[in-house]
Amino acid sequence: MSPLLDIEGLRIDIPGHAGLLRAIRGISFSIGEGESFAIVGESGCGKSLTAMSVLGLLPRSAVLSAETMSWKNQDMRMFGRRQWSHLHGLGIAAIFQEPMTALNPVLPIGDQMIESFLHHRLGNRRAALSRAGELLERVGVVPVERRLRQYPHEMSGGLRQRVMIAMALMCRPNLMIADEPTTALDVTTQVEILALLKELQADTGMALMLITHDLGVVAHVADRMAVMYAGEIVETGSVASVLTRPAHPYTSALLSCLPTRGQPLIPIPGVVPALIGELQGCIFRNRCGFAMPDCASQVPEREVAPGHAYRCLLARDDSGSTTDSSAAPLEAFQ
Amino acid sequence: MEEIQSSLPAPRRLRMRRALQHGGFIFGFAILFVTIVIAIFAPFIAPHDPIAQNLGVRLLPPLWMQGGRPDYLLGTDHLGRDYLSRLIYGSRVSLIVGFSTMLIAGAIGSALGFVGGYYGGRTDDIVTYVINCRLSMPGLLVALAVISLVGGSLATIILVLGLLFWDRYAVVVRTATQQVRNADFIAAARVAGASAPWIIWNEIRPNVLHHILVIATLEMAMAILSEASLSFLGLGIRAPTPSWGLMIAEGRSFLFAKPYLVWVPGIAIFLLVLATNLLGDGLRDLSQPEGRR
Repeated sequence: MSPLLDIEGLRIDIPGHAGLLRAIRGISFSIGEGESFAIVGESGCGKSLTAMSVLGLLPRSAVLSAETMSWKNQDMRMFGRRQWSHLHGLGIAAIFQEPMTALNPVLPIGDQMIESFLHHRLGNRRAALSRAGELLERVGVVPVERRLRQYPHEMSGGLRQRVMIAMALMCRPNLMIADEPTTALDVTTQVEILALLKELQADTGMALMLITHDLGVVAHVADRMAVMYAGEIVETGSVASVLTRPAHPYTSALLSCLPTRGQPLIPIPGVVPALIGELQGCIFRNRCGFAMPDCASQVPEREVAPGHAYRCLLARDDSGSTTDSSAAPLEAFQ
Repeated sequence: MEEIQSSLPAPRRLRMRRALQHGGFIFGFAILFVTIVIAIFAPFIAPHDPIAQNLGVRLLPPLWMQGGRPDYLLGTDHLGRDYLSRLIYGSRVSLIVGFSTMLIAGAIGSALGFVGGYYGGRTDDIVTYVINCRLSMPGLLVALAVISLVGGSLATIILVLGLLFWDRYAVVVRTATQQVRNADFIAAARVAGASAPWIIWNEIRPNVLHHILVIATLEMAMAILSEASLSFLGLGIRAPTPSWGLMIAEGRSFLFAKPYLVWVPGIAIFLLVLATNLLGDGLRDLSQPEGRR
């Protein structure tokens, strides 16, 4: 089956005063129909930039290049304005981190919800409103009649995020990109929103691209995941495999950062390197506990199991990883 | 026991309530409204033809002064024309100039501001340059020069003022647009497939509209005053069309003998400009959240 979205060798360079910032350096991933794919990584690792490039929302100064960048086997780089407009809304929808600013404060939410529906000529105003009503009901924003006439400031953060999700579903997209959808919400609301996303995905059969820094969210929602560090994907595979048998030292270190009762937290020493100029070898070597001289020159790509790959000099046999302590049963995250 | 109120009244009702408590807003709105009604129904209200001369009743004083006549409430001018009728018809000129200038200047300035603020980059550089060019010109002086070259008429005054006084709209709309354009809901609209003009009109304009409204009223007052100044200098409305500025100019030679010829239209200009300014201030206060006066 050909994937919905196929990205290979994506690079994003941003020219700046200090030199060319190599923000994304050759990442590859693909998302199949109905699949849910998570990208995890710390702040500034380029996960949002990756999402923005798929959405065509990169800042103008950013320079994008890729070996493959295709949507349903069509080259996205050749898309004109009309094709982007068609892809947006009908193909890909997005929800953002901050539900406070993601809704226009001066328009009632009903009007905002039907905008894209009407824009893509999927029906008249009445059809749009009835679809908006159905979706609001589905995401649990009731009573629908009153909510449609309310303004964003009359709702809580969780409600607004529900409205955002309903709004993204208006045109029945094939892929929903959720950029940190629960970060701005409090913990109980987070769980509700994640459960809702999962349910909706099962109902509609759409694919989900989830951008997050929260491994708990990944374990909860995603099928496959990629771990990003400083503009590269360092490990990718099924969620079950990556979280229980992390192969890359960075993934292991991330997992050790999760709090466990009675044990001290293990932080990752050092800081993310500046991504300016020519970069060679493993980007994680300055913070890695297993670093050796060869790390400065070569980074082979290895496979733990089919579909579970990582980029590191260290070989892991299937029986166990060098950082056994970090391996945890998947349930621990949920 | 009194029941605890569970919800605030609807926002529209709240806004009405606040508006009715704002003295300046009420005063400004009332005066402007009355002036508009008078201007529209001038032929029915005015007791005489505003340009009909009757040299038999030259320079009559207003009713309450010695020698005033009940059929000429505000007296007559040096050609025996009824001053009240001229004042009533003169409001038409002031309001037409005020509103038309506001519309032309508002359209030009807002368009520039939206484009510069939304697109940014090179486009914004060009817009900023154009705004700076305009700001470096002394507005009324340029208006004077152009009108003395082309000749004064209602249309030229409106065009010249409209093409000159768009700078404040452009500056404010540009800044306000810049503040809004980086919000997530703009990104959301783009992801929903909306085009730039659509986003500007449907997403940004409602967020910026209250700024435009406030400037529009202030600029309208400015335009009314400018027309009066131009007409007073003899470069604006041509006689015998009644204009308040022109009435002051014509009455000027009788300033010491018949001061009412100057202060009657003077008060009219003062009240209308004050009313529009107060309305603008009121709108500004009301468009801000409560308690942030």
